[in-house]
Amino acid sequence: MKRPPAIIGACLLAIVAAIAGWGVCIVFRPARAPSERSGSDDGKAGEAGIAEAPCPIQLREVSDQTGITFVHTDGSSGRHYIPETVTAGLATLDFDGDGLIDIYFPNGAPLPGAPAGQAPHHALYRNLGRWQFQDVTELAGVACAGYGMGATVADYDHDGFPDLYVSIFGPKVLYHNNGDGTFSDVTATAGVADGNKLGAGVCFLDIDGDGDLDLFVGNYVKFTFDSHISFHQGPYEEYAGPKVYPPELHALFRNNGNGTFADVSDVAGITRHPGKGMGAVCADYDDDGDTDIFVLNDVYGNSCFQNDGTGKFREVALELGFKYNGEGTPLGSMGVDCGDYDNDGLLDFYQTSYQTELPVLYRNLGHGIFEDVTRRSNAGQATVNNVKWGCGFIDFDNDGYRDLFVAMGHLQDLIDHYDPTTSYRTWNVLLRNQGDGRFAEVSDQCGIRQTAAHSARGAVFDDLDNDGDIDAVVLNSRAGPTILRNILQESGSQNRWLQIRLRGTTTNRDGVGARVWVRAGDLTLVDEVHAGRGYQSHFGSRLHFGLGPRERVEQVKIRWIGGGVEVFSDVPVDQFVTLIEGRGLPQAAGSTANRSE
Amino acid sequence: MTDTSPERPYLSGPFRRPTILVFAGLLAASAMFGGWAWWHARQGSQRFARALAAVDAQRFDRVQRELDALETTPGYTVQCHFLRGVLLVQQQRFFPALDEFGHSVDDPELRVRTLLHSGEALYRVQNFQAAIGLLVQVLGTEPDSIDAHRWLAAAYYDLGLRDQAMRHMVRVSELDPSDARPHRLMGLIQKDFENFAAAVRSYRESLRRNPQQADRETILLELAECHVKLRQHQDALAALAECRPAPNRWALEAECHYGSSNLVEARRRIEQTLEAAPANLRALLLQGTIFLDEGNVEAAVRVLSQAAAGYPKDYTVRYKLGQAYRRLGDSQNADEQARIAAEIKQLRLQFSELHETAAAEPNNADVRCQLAILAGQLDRPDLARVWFQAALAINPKQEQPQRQVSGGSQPKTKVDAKEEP
Repeated sequence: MKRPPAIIGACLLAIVAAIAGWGVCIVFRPARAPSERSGSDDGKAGEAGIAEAPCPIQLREVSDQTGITFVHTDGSSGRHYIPETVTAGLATLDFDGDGLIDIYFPNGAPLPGAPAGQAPHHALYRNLGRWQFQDVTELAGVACAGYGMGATVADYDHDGFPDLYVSIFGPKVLYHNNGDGTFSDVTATAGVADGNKLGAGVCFLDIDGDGDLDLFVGNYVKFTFDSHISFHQGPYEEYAGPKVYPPELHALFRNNGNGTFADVSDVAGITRHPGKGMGAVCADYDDDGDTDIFVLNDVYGNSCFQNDGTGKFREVALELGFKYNGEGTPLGSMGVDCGDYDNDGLLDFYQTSYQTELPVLYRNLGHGIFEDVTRRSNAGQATVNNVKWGCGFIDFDNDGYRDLFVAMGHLQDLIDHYDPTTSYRTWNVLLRNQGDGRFAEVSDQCGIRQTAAHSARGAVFDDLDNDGDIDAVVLNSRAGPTILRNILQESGSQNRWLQIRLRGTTTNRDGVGARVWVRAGDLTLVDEVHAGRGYQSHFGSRLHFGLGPRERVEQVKIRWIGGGVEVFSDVPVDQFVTLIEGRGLPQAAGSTANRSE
Repeated sequence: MTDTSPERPYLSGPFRRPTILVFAGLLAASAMFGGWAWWHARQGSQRFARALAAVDAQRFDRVQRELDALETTPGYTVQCHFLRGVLLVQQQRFFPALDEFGHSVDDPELRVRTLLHSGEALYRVQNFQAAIGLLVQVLGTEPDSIDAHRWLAAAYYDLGLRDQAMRHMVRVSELDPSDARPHRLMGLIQKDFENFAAAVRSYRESLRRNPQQADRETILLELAECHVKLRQHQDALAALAECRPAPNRWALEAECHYGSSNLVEARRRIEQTLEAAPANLRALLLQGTIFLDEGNVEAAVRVLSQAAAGYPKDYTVRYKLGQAYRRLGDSQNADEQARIAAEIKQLRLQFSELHETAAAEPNNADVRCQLAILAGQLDRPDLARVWFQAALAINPKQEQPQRQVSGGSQPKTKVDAKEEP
C-alpha cells in the first residue's frame, strides 16, 4: 500500500510547521535588556550581583494616574545649545503644610530659534492624597518663565513655611512662601539673583551656625549665545561638552536675618575656585559640627569646600580624594548624594557620571579621606554605558541599608544614529544594598524596567503617599515625568520604619544640616537634613529610616547646626514624628560620634 | 658580329622604365623607414606604458629596465625625467627626484602623476605644506586618487591636523575596500583622543580587511586596551586571547579580571607579568590599586613608589601614590605626590589645549614647537621629535627645532613611526 502523496504532504506540513514555529520564536522572542544591547560587560558584571530571591523592592509606574500633565521642554531648536543638555532637576516639598509631599518641576524655555508657541512654565503640583495631584502653579504664583535648571527648598525666614529657590539660566528666583498657598518673588529684595549665569545645583545651609539659612549657588559654565559652539558627528550635529566653555564662579549668600542676603563668595573663599558646577550637596563629612559644601564639576574636578565653622571655606577635594575618581580622572560629573551606605556612622558620597565612566561611590574612611569603592561594591557597572544624572541613597525596602537609584539617559539627542552602545532614552537603574558592602542590580526585578524609557535628568525621593516607604519622581527631558510608587507596604513587608521631621527653634526651623542618629537594637543609622542634593534637585526634608524587623527605636539623637545635642528616647516606629529643638534631653556636645557608641 | 639573339627585356610591364624603378625603390624605402619609425615609436609608448604600470605595481626593477630602453628612444626625454624621479624617490633621494619632476610637471599627460609623486617626495622631506598644496591639485583633477588621499592624510596627521587627516583616511578606506591600513591609523588617532568606541570600530574593520597584517598583534593589544577603557572586559579578553603570551597581554588581562571582580585571576596575571617584566607600569599600578583596596596601604606605597621611580611622569601613579600616603597618615609625602601629579596634569592639559590650537592653526610653527617642549617635559621624546619636525616643516628657520632634530639620525614622520601609509 503505497501512499506517497500522503507522506509528502505530511513532510511538507512538518516543514511548514517548523518554519512557522521558528518565525513565531523570532517575532516573539523577549526584547533584550539595554545592558545586553550595549555589548559591554554590564550584564555579566551585574550577573554576579543579581539577587536570586524575589526582589523586596517593588516600584510601579503611576505617572498616568496622578493627574500630573507636566511635560518638560528644553526649548531646543536644533541649534544644540549646551543648556538644553542639563535641564533640569526638581524638588519635593510640603509647601502647604498639610503633611503631603508636593512636587515642583522646573522647566526649560524657548531658546533662540525655537518655534513660537505657548510658553512653557515651571509647575507646582499639590498632593491631594491617594496619588492625585493638582496643578496649582498659577494659584501659587511660581510659574517662572526663566529657563529652569533646578531648585532647592527650605524655610529661610523661620516663618514655618518652606520657601523655594529656583536655579535658572539667567537670574535665579527666590520664592517666599506666604503661608496661604501662594508664593511671592522676593529675589530683588533678597539680592540672590546671582547675575545672568547658567545655574546648576543650589543648596540652603547654615554656614556659620547663626540659625539663619544661607544659600550656596552652583553655576555651570560661562555660556552666552554668542559663544555657542556645536560639533558634528558625521552628518549629525552634536552638543558641545563643557570643555569648550570657561568655568563659572559659584556664589555664596549669607542670610542677614531680615529677608536680605549678602554676597560673601569672596570672603568665604568660594570664588577662588570657579568650576563647571552640576549637582551639589551640603553635608558635614568630617563630623565636626559644621556644614561643608560639595559641588560636582563637569570634567573639571569636583570641589569640596571645608567649613571652618565660621563660614570661611578651604577647598580640600584633592586631599579628601573627592576631586577625581580613584584613578585620578576628572569625570563628567552630574548628580551627587550622601548617606551612610555601610552603616559605619560616616556619611559616604555617590556621584553620577558620563557614558563609559563608572559612577563613584566614595566611602568615607573617617579621617578626612574618601576611598573610591565603586568596583568592589558593584555600585556602578550596570550604568556604565549610559549618561547618569539624578541619584539617591534611599532605603527602598526599609531593611536598614540604603540602596542606590540612578537616573539615566543620554544628552546627545541624536546619539542613537551613531553610537550603538548607548541610547538617548533608556531605563533607570536600581542597585539594592545587600548589607555586606556590595550592591546588586535589581532593575529588572523591581519594576523600573517595565516603565517607559526616557532621557532622565533629576530624580527625587520622598514618601508621597505617607505609607512609610519612599517613592520616586524622575524628571525626563522633553517628556513627562516618571512617577514610581513604592508598593513595599502593600506587598506585606514586615520591615519597620521611622520618618522624622525636625523643627528648629533657635537653629534654622527645618533643621537643615542637623545630624540625626537613630538607634534601634543592634542598628544605628545616621543621616542629615539636606536642602539641595542629587542632580540639581531637592528632596528628603523629612528623614526616613528603614529599621528592618526592629520594633523599637531606643534613641534618636540630634545635633543641631549652631545648637546643642539632644536625645529623644523611645520613639515609636512606623510613625511620622516631628522632633522639636529643646524638647529632648540635652546632651554634652562632643559625644556625637556614632562609632564610639 | 651582331648579336642576333632576341632582346630579353630586363623587366616587363610597368617596371620597364628606369624612372619607375627609382620611384618604386624610393617608395619602398620610405615605406620601410616609415614602418620602422612607426614600430619604433610604438615600442617607446609601449615601453612607457609598461613603465607606468610597473610604477603602479611598485615593481621598480621593471621601471628601471623600461627607463634604460627609453633613454635611447628619441622623443621620450620628459617621460624619462619622470621615471627617473620616481626611481629617485624610491631610493630616498628626494631632492634630485624633485629636480627630475620639475621637467615633467608641465607635460599635460604626466602632470597629475608628477604632482602626486612630487607630493610624496615633499612629504618625505617633511615639507608637509608644499606636499599638501600639490596633492590637493591632484585631487582637483582626480578626486578619487587613492594615493593623493593617502599622502594628504599622512601630511595632515604630521602637521597635527587630525580632522583633515581623518577625512582623507576615511576616503581612502572607501575607495579601496581591501586596504586595512587607514582603519588601523584611524583607530590609533581615535584611541589617542580617547574616542575608544570609534577606535574599537576602526581596529575591528582593519582586522576584518586584513586578518593577517604585519601589525596584527599590536592592533589586537590596542583594541583590547580600548575595550578595557570601555569596561568591555570580556571583549578585551577575547582580543587578547589571539595575542601571543607576553607581559603586555598578561597585564591587560589582569585589568580585565580586576574589572570583572575576578581578583584571584587578576593577581595571578599581575604576578606573571611582573615576573617577566618587573617594571611593567600597568601591572604595578594594578597591584598598588589592589593593595589599596585591601587596606594594605604600606604594600601599596611600596609598589607605587617603584612605579613612580620607573615612570616619574605618569600622572596616575603619582595620584595613587599620593592617596596611599594620605591613607598612611603621611601628609608631607601625600602633598608632595599630589603636587607632582597636579604638575603633570597641568602639563597634559596644556598639551591638550595646544594640540587644539595646532589643529586650528595649520601654519603656526611656534605652537608646534611648544608642543614638542611639553612632550619632552612629559617624558615623551618620541612625540617631542615629531612635533619639532612639524614645526620645522612650517618654518625651516626655527632654531630650536633644528637643533633638536639635527641631533637625531634619520628623519622620521609620525607615519614612518608606525608604518608607511
